[in-house]
Amino acid sequence: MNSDFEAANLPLPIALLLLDRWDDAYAYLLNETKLTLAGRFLVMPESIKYDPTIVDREPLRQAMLLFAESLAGHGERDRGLLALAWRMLTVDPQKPDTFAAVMPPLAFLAKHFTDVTDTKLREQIDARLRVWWRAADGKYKDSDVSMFRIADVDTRPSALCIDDPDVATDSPQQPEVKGPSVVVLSKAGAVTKGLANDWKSMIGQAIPLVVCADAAAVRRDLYVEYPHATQAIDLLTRDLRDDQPVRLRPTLLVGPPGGGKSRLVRRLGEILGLYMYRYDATAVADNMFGGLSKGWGSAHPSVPARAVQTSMQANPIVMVDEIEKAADSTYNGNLWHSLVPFLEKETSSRYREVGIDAELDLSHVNHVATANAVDRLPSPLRDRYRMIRVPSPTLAHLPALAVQVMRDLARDDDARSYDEPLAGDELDIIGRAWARERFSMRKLQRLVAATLDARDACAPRH
Amino acid sequence: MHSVKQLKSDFDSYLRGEGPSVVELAPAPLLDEWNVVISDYCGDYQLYLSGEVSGHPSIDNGHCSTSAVVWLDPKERWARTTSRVYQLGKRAETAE
Repeated sequence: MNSDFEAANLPLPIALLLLDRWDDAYAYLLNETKLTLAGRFLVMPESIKYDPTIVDREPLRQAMLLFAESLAGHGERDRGLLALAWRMLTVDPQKPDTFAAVMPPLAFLAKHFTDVTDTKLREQIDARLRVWWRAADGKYKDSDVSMFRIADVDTRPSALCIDDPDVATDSPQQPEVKGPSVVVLSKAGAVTKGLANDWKSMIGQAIPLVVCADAAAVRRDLYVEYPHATQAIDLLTRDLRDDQPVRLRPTLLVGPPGGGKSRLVRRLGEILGLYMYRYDATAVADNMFGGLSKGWGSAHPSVPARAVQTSMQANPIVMVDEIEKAADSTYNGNLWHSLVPFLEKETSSRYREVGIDAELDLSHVNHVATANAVDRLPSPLRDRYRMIRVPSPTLAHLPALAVQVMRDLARDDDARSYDEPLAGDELDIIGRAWARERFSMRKLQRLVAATLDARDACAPRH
Repeated sequence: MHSVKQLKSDFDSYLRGEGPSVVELAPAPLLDEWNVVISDYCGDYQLYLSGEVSGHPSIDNGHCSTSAVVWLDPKERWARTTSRVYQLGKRAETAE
């Protein structure tokens, strides 16, 4: 994210405000401090070194405050900004007083010294700042996580984030006896006259939210199928909570082609019992994703709305495949622009469907996208997606993956379900060919299928 | 005199570590037994101080609330609000 910050040229404390975790903020600031102080006669004291094994943070806090004091007061503006940034690391939501010297300059910087033309980034800064203010006002006294974490969780585009067990809340939610659900199309949101029948039946109807029964089991299942991407799976499934509706932060899977990104999402959906709507960005040069108004001959609801309507689930997965390949002309509106409102809680919870002239609550829809590279993506989008790298598998993963591919083949073709597992020499040959294909999962499927076909051809006939 | 421009240039000098000079601070009103108050006006948050003021040009000695604070000296010797600089006395003991 650092390059984005620099691109936007934010003052250091404001850039820090946008980080999601205290550790990230600390690492970022440590680096910035080194860069700023390089060649100047000031060394960073050992005492500000963060050691995660030490439980008592108070000595570290005091050391950082002292360091901030030594940074300020030398006639240099950037050192003053550093000092403020270090003070930001010392705030403690349990002790609102620790915010007193931080909030006024932070707010002033955000208001008068932050040139942001991007309205979404501006909103993000303001939203985070408001959470910091609330903390300064003692609203998070019972919380035992860092200010950065609180600000991240509380500005996430989802209403269900209060259920996040990492953030203490006043009243823990009691699990409902009947499954959770949400009214997607409220009576107030629609003009009944002229509304298509499919939509009429949705008015005021509670649409169920798919619940994750056992997050650990989902993870285990995916590990087996993607032995090379366990880290990505951990990140992808991090938001899953047992017996809670499935709610994933908007996520962008980035990795080399053929790494199995789309299939990973499909499998996640299958395991969770979630409907997945795949939207191919490759051929898109308009904003069909956001829906088409009645005036354009064929009225068209937005993709997330269609996903909800077809599946009758309030939180299906909408996957935009190869998002970076969408055309970026703005002539007909483009995919990227029409995606943004869906990724924000405020706008997606009251999305105006131009096609059916109604307001829908689409904030529970899970958004996942895949990309081979992200450099073409505009930063408003990059800021809204949590990026997860999906690496290519290596030869070491071949035996495990081959078993999976055979299982897939058996599912499509009953005759294949009686196949013997691949022998060592067969795997050797596949491995060599696969290396030439740069370990593409897609190619692996073809290689395994070809090997099995060859085996059939040579098999003795009785 | 205290336009936004002036405020921004003062803010810049605080960032550079140049707080108000003795000459500026000496005649400034003193706020004693003060505490921090955060106000929320429809999501527009501000921090101000409330306490016992003395030597204010337009307010009688006694209890007062300042305008929004722009900079609070980390050592709590002075504060700059949108309208003026205050010398800070003792913080009020919290009731808690």
